Amino acid sequence: MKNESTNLIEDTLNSIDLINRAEASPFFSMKLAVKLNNSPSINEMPSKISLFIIATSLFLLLFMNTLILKQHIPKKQKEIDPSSYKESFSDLYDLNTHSTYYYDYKQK
Amino acid sequence: MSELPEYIQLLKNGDRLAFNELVEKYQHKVFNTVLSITQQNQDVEDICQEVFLQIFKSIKDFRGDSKLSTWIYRVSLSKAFEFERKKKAQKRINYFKNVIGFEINEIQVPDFNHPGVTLQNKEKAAILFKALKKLPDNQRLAFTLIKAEGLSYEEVGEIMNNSLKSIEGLIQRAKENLRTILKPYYSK
Repeated sequence: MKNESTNLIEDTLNSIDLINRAEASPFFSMKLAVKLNNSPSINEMPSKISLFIIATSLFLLLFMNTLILKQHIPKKQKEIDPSSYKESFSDLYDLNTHSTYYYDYKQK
Repeated sequence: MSELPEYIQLLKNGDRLAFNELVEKYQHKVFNTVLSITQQNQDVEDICQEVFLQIFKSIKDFRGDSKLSTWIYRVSLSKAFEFERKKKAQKRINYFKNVIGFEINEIQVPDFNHPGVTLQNKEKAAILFKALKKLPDNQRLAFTLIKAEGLSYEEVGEIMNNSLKSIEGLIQRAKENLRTILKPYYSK
């Protein structure tokens, strides 16, 4: 029994020696020629690395440009309406007015 | 002819006639190698087309450190293993989708039948190819290239960047492992 299974294992191992080489279909080279004609020429094809470099430099250029512009162009100052200032800080405004009045009074 | 520097220069210059000659010479070798490694009848031709497109694209980088045939085998093997990795990754994703509840109608892949196998040998070859899948990659590669592709130990050593001794060792271990894998199958 053991001998039989050993023989079967050896037969299976040796079965690979009896295999003929598999061959591609007769249209293989024709299909490949079509694919090659459809793919762009190697000389024209930009490599992924150069594409990456171009994209990165473009991004950096735009980023730096924005940064420089931000630093050099001053921010537009908001025009404050004095009446609105008075409304929002009315307590402080009264206090100041009062203290000035008091000071003036003392001097007099 | 295919190893002559003038011929390799023609290939590097993008000469289509020289490339067609290369395809004619190597298409069956590439096909048989990729088929034996991937064990996929459906996708093998597409992978082989990719191999030749890759050869066409990167022949200008071929430095001539090894034989052209060795380089072609290396490109073929790297494409075959790349395909295997993608298949395995796809299987994992499908498994995960199944676990979380997405229903995937996974197509059951039938046992691999090498087209070069004779009818009386068919069953044994199918068992052997199934067992081969369980071997470590380097043992499977050495065993397949020597047994299925009929390359010499020296040629396989060049392709795998290994010494003759280590290839002999790999074949020895591959056979031992295959015997161990096949034992339970035949002792039933």
